[in-house]
Amino acid sequence: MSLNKLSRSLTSKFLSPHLYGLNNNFKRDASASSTDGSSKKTPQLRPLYLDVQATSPIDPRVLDAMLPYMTSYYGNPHSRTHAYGWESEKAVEESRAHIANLIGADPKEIVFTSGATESNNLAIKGVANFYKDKRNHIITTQIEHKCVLDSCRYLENNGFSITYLPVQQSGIIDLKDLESAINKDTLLVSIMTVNNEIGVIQPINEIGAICRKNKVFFHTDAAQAVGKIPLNVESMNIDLMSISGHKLYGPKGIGALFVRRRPRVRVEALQSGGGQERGLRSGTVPTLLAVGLGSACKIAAQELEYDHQYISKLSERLVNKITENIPEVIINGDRERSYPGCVNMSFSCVEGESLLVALKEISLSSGSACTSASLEPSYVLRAIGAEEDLAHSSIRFGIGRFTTEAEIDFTVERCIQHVQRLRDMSPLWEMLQDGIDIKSIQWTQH
Amino acid sequence: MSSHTPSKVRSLYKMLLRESTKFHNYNFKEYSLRKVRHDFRKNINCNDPSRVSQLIGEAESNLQMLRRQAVIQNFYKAEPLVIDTRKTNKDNGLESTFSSS
Ligand SMILES: Cc1ncc(COP(=O)(O)O)c(C=O)c1O
Repeated sequence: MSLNKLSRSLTSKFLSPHLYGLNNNFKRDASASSTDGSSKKTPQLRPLYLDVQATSPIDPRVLDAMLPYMTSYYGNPHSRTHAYGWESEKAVEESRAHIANLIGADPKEIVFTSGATESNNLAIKGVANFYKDKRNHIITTQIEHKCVLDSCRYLENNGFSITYLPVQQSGIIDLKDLESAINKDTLLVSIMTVNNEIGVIQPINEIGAICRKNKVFFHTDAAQAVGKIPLNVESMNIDLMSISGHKLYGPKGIGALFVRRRPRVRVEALQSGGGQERGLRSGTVPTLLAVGLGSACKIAAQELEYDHQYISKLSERLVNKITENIPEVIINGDRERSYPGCVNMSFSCVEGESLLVALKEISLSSGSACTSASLEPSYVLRAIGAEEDLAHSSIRFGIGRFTTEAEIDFTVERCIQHVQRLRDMSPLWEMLQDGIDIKSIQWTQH
Repeated sequence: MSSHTPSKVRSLYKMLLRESTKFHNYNFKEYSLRKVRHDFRKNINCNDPSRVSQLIGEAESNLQMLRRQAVIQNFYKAEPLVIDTRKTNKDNGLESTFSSS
């Protein structure tokens, strides 16, 4: 019997929201506030949030900027004939300028979308469809977000050839691989800036230079990077960049795509309609969300350095305390070349999902942000050459602007306690301690 | 620099801190306190009058923002965090230093 499988099916049951009574949240809240002083029950407590790569809380300053557009100022920003339209349009354009400013672009180069998923689709399919008669080869990596990989897969089924570059053990691509993959048919290179699972930062400067030299368009999915690390589309020779609102303390359901104007990058729209956003993205721009993204970018531009310093300090504290107190910890991805707010670790002989269940006081994820419902081992970890068991035992710690030192210390404390407990119950750990090489064991079933 | 400025800055600083403590949300409260202190310390030696009045303007609009947000966010309180209980004493201490001053 495969122990692995059994425990996986058990953990998937334990991870169901019913166990936590999450679907009763509001009812419970109401009854809690109506209890009289006589009941000395311990109050329900919420877990800490260390999953900021999945989504971030909305910064109160962002909400404050959005509220007027959810209340008094509801005009359609595309209405040309009255003040309601003009005031909304002004707000949208100011937001566009804040986004552009954060990445060193011109406001005219920013297209509002519904998020990074749409931006990635628009960039990849849009460029491919516009130029499909001229060139039909696209280069990407094996560790991209699903929406990039699936867009490429779609184009592959429609006559494009795609190269999925491998990454080194560090999580970084080999630039020589990129150079040798480029041929005369290569239209587009799409490589993410910061990986959402392991946090590694690709050498965007160098990739941009290679693409420009070879006259190939360069798209980067910067959903996890914008507002976290300094980016400049000019100096980095980026032609298209995807941005997501809810990864930088803005609202969900809004994003942006930077599309270079000089030298011009042509993109075919995905949807037909009123021709808003210079015809690239029809549909009324949601003013309040656009204002939210603009405000988030404005704050990020001011706070980037401060946030980065603070997050680095917390990240170092987390990594040091865990590695000092727990043996056999593997940090996935090259720390030196990663965004410090994303720490991905594997604990030998401890299954990630079991640890997540044990660490129920902390909201963590076992890897991928958006598809964490699946218990498949991560394709990103496989791509960096992690052994299957380690790919199963990974946990991602997300540290953000609102994380506190006390939260890090609490997390470390619980991690030490539960990793130890789970290892004490693990026959594999016992074997490892006895010096038996686990890989040499013949398993009857995988 | 006007002779009122130092006391004005001090009172703004205190009001910003006091308003920050009103967030029920642990993370927003901690961030706000940390950020107010940081910005204040960073600019404590600034004596360029136009910069000072700019900073005062920013602090005033931040104070308005905090006042609105502390109220609005507290309408939608979630349960306290698992580590919130540890913090209560310290926060109360902070509140009382201000209310007594
Ligand atoms: C790297 C990356 N790209 C794209 C996305 C999707 O972003 P959105 O939720 O805005 O569509 C995410 C979020 O999970 C991401 O981390």
